[in-house]
Amino acid sequence: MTDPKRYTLDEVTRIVNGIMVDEFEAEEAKLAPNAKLNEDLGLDSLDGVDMVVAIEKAFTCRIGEEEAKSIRTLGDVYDQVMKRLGAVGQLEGATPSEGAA
Amino acid sequence: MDPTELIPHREPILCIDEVIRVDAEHAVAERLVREGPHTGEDGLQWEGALIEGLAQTAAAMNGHAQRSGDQPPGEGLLVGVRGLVIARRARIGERIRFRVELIKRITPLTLVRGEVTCGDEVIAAGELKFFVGNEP
Repeated sequence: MTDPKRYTLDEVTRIVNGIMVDEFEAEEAKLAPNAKLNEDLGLDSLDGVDMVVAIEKAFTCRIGEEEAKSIRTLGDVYDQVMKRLGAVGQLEGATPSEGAA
Repeated sequence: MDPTELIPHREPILCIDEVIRVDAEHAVAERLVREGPHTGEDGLQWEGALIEGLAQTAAAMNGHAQRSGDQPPGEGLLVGVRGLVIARRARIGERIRFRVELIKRITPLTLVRGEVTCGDEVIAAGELKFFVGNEP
């Protein structure tokens, strides 16, 4: 069995931001950890489930329903990904709090 | 299983005849396409009936989840369709099968992958999104 891929926070940020731009047409200039998904990036409640699925697919992880409901900002997305990755492997580089809102 | 045990839809909008299998994350239903409000003079089923059949099959999955306590009670609304491809319309006399598989549930939203087959032939497939609740 191969080791799970280890992502740095910078890599997680880059991949998540890419998803927000490519799949949800978020403005790149507005991507910041404290950006609110709804008010700042234009995602509505119907987009939320699609976003979670896209994130899960990109990182081969699973975000639970309650955790998904707690996501309000882009930083929350980074945090949830880092938590999921932390559950299967070691975190490298910066601590998750650097990406938090 | 009679679909009316799981979903509120009734004739003439009921688009599935029988629920073959159902659990919290999957549902399979069948329909014998017949002359009526869902078919045209050309003997073909309206595309909308394919979509509605998938939606009602997903509703059966949600209905089962609600009965099992896995999901809070509520009525469902189809709020999105993505990547739907309809290869062809079903013909009167054909028995078609609707399959849905849960992709993600973040209450009150449910995202499923759906497929309609006639024998081994896939005649439609795509993703559907539902709002399930009491207050839209």
